[in-house]
Amino acid sequence: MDLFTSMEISASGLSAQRIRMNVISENLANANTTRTPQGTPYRRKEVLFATKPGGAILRAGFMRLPFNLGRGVAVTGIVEDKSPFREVYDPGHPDANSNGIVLMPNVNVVVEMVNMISATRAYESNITALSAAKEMAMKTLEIGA
Amino acid sequence: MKGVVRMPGLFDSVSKMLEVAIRGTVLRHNLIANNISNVDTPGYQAIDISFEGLLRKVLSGDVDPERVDMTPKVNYSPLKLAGLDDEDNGVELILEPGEEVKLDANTVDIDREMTKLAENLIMHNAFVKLLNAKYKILKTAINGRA
Repeated sequence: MDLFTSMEISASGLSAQRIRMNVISENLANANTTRTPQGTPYRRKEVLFATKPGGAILRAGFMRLPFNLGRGVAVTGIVEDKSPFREVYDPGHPDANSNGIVLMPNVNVVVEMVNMISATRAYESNITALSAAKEMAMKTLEIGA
Repeated sequence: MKGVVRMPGLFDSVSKMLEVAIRGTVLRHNLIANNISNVDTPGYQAIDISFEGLLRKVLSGDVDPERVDMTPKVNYSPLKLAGLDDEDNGVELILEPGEEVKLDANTVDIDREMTKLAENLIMHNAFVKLLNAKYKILKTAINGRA
């Protein structure tokens, strides 16, 4: 575990949050899309995060439990939100059914905006950790100088 | 056995302690960076290490700095729980309690992690400075006052 490892860890956090931001952007861009290639309205997408298994697994000695230290975060998948579509009464809409109901995407703009702020802040935190690792590495080079 | 480790050569136990301390701050930075990167991972358990006890033992000569084990361990031995474990010469792993109410069982407190990050960085810089000061004294002793 050296400082390059910790830079990799921070980079994995940056990349995970960026993927999350891409998915949020896609959700926002398609907040009113009623027609997709699948024939349904757009379904909201979500990212799944999981801890990357770490390099160091602790040796189990007397009453000392092994523990996976972790090595950053990884996006394990992008899944669709299974919640029902919004129903809007708009008889003039080309995608309206016989009752005049249009199925709109299950995207809630407020939820997406809150997630966007959360992703931005998490990205910034990882940047700070990366800068700290850089500063520590440069300081370490001063030993004996 | 207390204080059995002799420091041969030019470097005393303080230099050796600083070396272990620098290794400790680098390891701790890894764990903090990992906690920060997993701030949105459901079920993630935040971890930290403590190596102050180890430094004390290196300084007093109870632990040979060449044999320090930097692999963090969770110590659940009954002796440790009773506060009697004196055999531990490694880095102790701490599972951080989740104080916030989070629905996804993630125990990362981002404010605490950022504070620890800043604190750890300052400690690292301080240890490097102290080590350099030790080396400077040594250089003066070798060269004399030129």
